[in-house]
Amino acid sequence: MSDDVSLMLRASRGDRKAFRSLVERHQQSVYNFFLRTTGHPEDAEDLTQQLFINLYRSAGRYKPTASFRTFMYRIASNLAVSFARSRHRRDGVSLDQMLDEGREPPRHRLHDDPAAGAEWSELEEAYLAALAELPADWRTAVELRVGRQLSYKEIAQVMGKSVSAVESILFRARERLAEKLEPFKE
Amino acid sequence: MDCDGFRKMISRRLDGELGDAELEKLERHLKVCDACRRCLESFGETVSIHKSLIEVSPPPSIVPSVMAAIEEPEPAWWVRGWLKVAVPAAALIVLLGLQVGGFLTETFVPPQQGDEVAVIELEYLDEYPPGSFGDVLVMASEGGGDEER
Ligand SMILES: [Zn+2]
Repeated sequence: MSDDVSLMLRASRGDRKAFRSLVERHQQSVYNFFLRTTGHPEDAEDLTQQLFINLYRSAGRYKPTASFRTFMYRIASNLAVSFARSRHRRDGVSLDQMLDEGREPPRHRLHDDPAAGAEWSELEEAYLAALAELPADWRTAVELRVGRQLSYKEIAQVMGKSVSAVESILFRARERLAEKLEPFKE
Repeated sequence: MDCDGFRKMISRRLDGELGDAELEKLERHLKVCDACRRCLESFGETVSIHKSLIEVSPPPSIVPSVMAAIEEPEPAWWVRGWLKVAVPAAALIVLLGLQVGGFLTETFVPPQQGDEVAVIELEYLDEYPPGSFGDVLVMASEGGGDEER
């Protein structure tokens, strides 16, 4: 039994100390997942907190047969996708508009947050802007695969889709991302 | 297979999701197709940029906020279930109480009522069968006791 699974089982019996260890172990991964799916540090912070609260409350439904990471990212993906649906993106200007107007690619919001301490190259900025323009479930799939290193099978379980649907989403997302990055390559 | 099929394989290859036979087939195609080589390059670039993004440290407030939130235990399922029934039921009872109370007040206890009015109203109730609610009210107004009836 992995550490995560035994901590989660203890948490399901109301052991808050065990749950605290789980939060400490996974908060960075989850925070970065939300940072890249929402593009905003404040939203990422709110959603990370919400995820762990939901996780604690659903601990009783956790079965050790399911991978802990799959269980956790299933809740996280639902939060990310419903968050995107519930709210208009904060940035009003699209990447295409900026290119049309001959403007520099956006200084991504992650850049504005000194606490986040992130420094992005111009290409990374353009990539993040292109990622932000993808449909929420495509963006989530890309981050689960490339950022969180989940397999296709795990992503399929997390997102409640078939493996071939996941393949197809990732393929179309890459076509779109590559196309959007084309103007930024020397 | 057409180039579109090979491009889907390129995406899976970048994710390490291609079997040996498929990988070999793709490699053979890439040797002869410039367009698919460019596709491999541009898809590969999206992956390498994404991987190069640094992992940001989470704000220190997350752990204390989460722990504070879960200190407040959520009601157990049976309490939640009970509340689902009890809250509307209580609301209904209060509402009915107000209706009945309002009815009784309007009928039997008008503001600044004279005793005469009350008596007339109670005489009306007098026609209720013995032992009924109206009967009880009449008895109460007459100072209790059932010797008269
Ligand atoms: Zn080709």
